[in-house]
Amino acid sequence: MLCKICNKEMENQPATVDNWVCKEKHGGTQPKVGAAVLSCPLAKGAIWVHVIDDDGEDVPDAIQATVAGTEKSTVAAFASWDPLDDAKKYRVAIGTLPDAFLPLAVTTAEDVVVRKGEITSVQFVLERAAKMTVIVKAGDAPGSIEDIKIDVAATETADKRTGKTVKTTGAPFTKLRKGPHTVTFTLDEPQKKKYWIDGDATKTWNVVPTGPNIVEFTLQLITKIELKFHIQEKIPTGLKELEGAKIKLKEPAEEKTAALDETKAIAKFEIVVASKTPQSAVDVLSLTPDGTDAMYEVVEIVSA
Amino acid sequence: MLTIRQSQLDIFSGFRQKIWEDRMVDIVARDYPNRYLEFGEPKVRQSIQFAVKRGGEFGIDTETSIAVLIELMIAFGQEFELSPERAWARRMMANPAAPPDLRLHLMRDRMMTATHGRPVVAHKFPAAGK
Repeated sequence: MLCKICNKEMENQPATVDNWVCKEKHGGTQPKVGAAVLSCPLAKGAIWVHVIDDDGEDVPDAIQATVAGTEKSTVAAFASWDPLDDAKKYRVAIGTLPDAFLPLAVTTAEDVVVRKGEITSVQFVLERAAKMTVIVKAGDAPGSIEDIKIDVAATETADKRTGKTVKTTGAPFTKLRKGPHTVTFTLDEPQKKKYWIDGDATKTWNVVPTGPNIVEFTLQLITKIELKFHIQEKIPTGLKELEGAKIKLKEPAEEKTAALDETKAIAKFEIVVASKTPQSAVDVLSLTPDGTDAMYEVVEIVSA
Repeated sequence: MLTIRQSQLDIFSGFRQKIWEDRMVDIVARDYPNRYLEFGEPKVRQSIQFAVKRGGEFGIDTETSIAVLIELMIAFGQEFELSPERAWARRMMANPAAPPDLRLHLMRDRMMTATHGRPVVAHKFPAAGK
């Protein structure tokens, strides 16, 4: 059998099975394993700067990096300083990153060792920045209600942001890290009187750098119904205005006293409706005084 | 007539595999002494066994092609993550149209050209907060 390296006849030194051993002394330019033959490795070492994103993909943008005082730009995610003297330690620094990436916590590698016949790869992992838009809609209307306070908090880091919605475009948040975020909106007192929250006021959103990350909330306008009861008592000669009578509703559980409104005894209710289902009826729980011939009629319903 | 049973063949095959693996360990120690010292023999053996298993997944099972695969994994990492050609290399390794020896020959040629035969070693950043 011939040696794959020098092509000379080998010697069989079987222990349990055939064990072909070449007795030749091979030189320093031995071929590597396999078929291809390469020349001697370069004596010198080198440094490669390799820039990848947090998904492990090469960053195609040209990123500046400096080694031994020499600045270069990455091409297809790599920049090479070759050859470099070995037995020395080098400082490797990465330059300003494009806006699409978050600032790096560590921008330099100190004491990078270069060994003879090896390439030292210094890998910088860049995080792609994500953006998010929070929209607070009024019902089915397009765009966003303005001036609503929004809080965005990263679940896995201490990053917390606050913003306010702008009419139509919502609240933009930029340079976010990928990962789950809690998004909350808060209504101020005037807004609470105007809107009710249709759904949740807090959502968890998994931010992805490639996505638009549009988080939508919905508010509905609060409807107010003004309800007037005209209360009278039947007397032998006709009907008497029953001023001071009390009428109590089941929902909302409110009781009002009839007062003279011009010539009629009227009890007025203002009912707030925070529901998508229109309210068309109310239940009257009681009319006081009871046991009389008191009667009432709904005289007016005004919805606003 | 001499009859060799399957179990005996398996033992014989195991011996041959062990001898081949020992030879691969020696080659790594000789050609990549720094990497061998860094890894130690047990990890080098693990890397060899990983290469055999990984190669098998892609129909790469000849001694020559696996030997080259071991070398590439030693030089560029188990997933070739340190090679600028890693995406291409992964595609080439998984290309069923080419015979395994040819695939590995092409991979070695292309990946080693960029490094002039030198292995790539990852610089280790100190742990955060230290």
